[in-house]
Amino acid sequence: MEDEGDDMPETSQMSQSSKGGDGVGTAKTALKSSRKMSRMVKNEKGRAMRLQKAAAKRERQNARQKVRETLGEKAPPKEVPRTIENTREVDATMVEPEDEEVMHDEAHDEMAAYFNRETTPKVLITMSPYAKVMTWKFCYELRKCIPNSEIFSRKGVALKKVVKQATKKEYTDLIVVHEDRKKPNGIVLCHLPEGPTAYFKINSLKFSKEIKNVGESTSHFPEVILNNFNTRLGHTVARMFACLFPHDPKFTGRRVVTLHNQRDYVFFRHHRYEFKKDGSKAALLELGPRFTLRLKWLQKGTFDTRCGEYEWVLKRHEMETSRRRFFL
Amino acid sequence: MDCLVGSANGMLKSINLVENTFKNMSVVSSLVPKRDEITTLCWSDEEQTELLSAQLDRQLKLFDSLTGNYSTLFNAHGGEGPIKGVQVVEDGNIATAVQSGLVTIWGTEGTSKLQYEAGNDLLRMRVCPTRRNYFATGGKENPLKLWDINTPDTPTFTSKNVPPNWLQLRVPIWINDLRFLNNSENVVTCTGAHQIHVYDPRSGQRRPVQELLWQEEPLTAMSTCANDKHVVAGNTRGEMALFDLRNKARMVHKFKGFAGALRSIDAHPTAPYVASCGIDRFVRVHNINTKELVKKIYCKARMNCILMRRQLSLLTTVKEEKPDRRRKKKSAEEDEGDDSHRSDSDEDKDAIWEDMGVVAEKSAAAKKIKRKVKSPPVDDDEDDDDDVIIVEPKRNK
Repeated sequence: MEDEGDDMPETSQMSQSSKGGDGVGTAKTALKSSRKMSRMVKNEKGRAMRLQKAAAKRERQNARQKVRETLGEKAPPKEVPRTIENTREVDATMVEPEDEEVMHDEAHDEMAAYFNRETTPKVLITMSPYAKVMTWKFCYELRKCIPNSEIFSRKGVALKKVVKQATKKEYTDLIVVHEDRKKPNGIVLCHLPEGPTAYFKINSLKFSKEIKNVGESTSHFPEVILNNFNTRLGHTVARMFACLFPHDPKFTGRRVVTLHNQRDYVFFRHHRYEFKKDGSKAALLELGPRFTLRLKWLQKGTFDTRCGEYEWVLKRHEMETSRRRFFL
Repeated sequence: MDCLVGSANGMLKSINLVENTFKNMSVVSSLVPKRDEITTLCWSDEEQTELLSAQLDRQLKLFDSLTGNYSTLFNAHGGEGPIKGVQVVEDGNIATAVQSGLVTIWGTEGTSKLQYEAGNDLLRMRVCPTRRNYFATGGKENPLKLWDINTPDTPTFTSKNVPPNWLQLRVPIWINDLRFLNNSENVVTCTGAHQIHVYDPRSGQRRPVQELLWQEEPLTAMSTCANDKHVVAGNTRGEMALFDLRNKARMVHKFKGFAGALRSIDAHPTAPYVASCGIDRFVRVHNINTKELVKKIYCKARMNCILMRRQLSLLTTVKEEKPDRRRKKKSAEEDEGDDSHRSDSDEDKDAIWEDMGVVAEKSAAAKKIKRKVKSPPVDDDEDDDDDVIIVEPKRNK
């Protein structure tokens, strides 16, 4: 057998090198070989078990399929698998579709000016002082993606001053890319006249060049899709994102920016779409950066971490105790 | 109606703690937040059935909880900025304090009777609950001032800033909230420089008698509670804690469950409950001693001020389960039900009286004996009784 063949040269080497006599050497090798044997046996047993389970599962599926075919309409409905999103803890702040008070609140909040079409978005992108290449690359990508945006180098100016200067120059939003260890790791999104400030942590970032089969972006105003922002806090954050992009997308450009929230992580994707087969399916071509954001805190008013009032702060020990509790 | 909350969009909400619901006292569509935002609330009578609210456009409104009527009283004109304090002073007059520093006493029809200039950037004004003609004001770079209503020219007490800190930098004055301590004229303030100060106007000291630094964020709200020595305060980061103001002022424990900044805290004067509200749109009621979150109610709007009634429906449901001994001795009804307690205390009292009688009879004899004993100087040892240990200076020797 092959096992013994492997063992043989080992044992001869071991017996030659061991000084304490053959007894110790052979005991060690015996242990090694027995361990190898038991591992092989376990692997085989495991494989056999897995095959058995798969076979049993296939049998059950076939049986159910047959039942469905025979009964047709009267068959019992397909069972819905239990997921973490399904079993999410009940949140009192979930916004009902026709909630009068929430609608009134949103109609009068800081971002109402954008939604009433009184202002057009003008975005200022800046970064941590003396930022490195990666951060600049990320800012260039953001500038390409968000229309009507400008990058300014930070040059050591305090953020409160940046906010003041931007408000004077009539910018509506401020994005500050925060850097740590030469890589972008956070975004401070501040809506400008007196709007809320949000701080996100960037979890995974892929530049356009790193994405396979990436496409060329264009300058058409994109469509914006905001998925799954269901709670009151989620609504505020979604409105902040919406304020970055111009009101009227150019549909002929077929460019779409998606911000999808799942389990408190916001996924940013940028695609060009093309409808196929009479509009039932759409092919997507990925453009632009791909990154994930997680909200750390939301502050009422412009950036003032010392004296400003926080509307929501992620307190890990209190809030991250349950796997089924989400806030956005 | 256990708590009344004034929100940032102008809605007055009444909260039922047992059912965990809230009710709006006006129609949502009629509100304009920039005009109607409620900046302060206060009870307007001793029975806590009527409430005064001040709006951002200086309208004072009266809410009657018995009829549910929410009507405008008058417009508190004069000065600039929102109303930062509304209180009822003696004779039913209303005092309002505006951010520019003008404190006005109004009659019920809206005629201004007296005016005081309390300094710019006033952030809080409160009236002493025991002496209704005495009030305190404080703000940003506006030190604590205590005023007597009858002397409008100068405050009776102006506080002094604390000495510069360890870097020799001047500590800013930024009084965010102030309260008169129970059963005294001492004032406790919480500041934006994360300090809690206690002032005693009757001591000669103008500087705070006690100072406590806590965390790094500005403290925005505070309340006194049932215990005279305890105070609850909260900051902008959503942290609320109980503080003990005895000799060494310290934090007792924190209350958990907040997500956002606190704007107002109100504790019950006798029961161990504290209600708080803030801009995370929740009203929370905690048990002060066990720090557990008793109630958490979502109220859909950012809230500015909260008031808790003395007659809580929570208390009447809990009272049946947990009888409080102190109250039982005071209230006549419960004494009947608890005869054992009463008889014990009576027996003790009787025993005390008997003892005292016996002592009185003995004392004359004891005095005679003592006189006899004390005359010779060597008798210091005999004076040592079993229960009384007195260290006497030995002057005879």
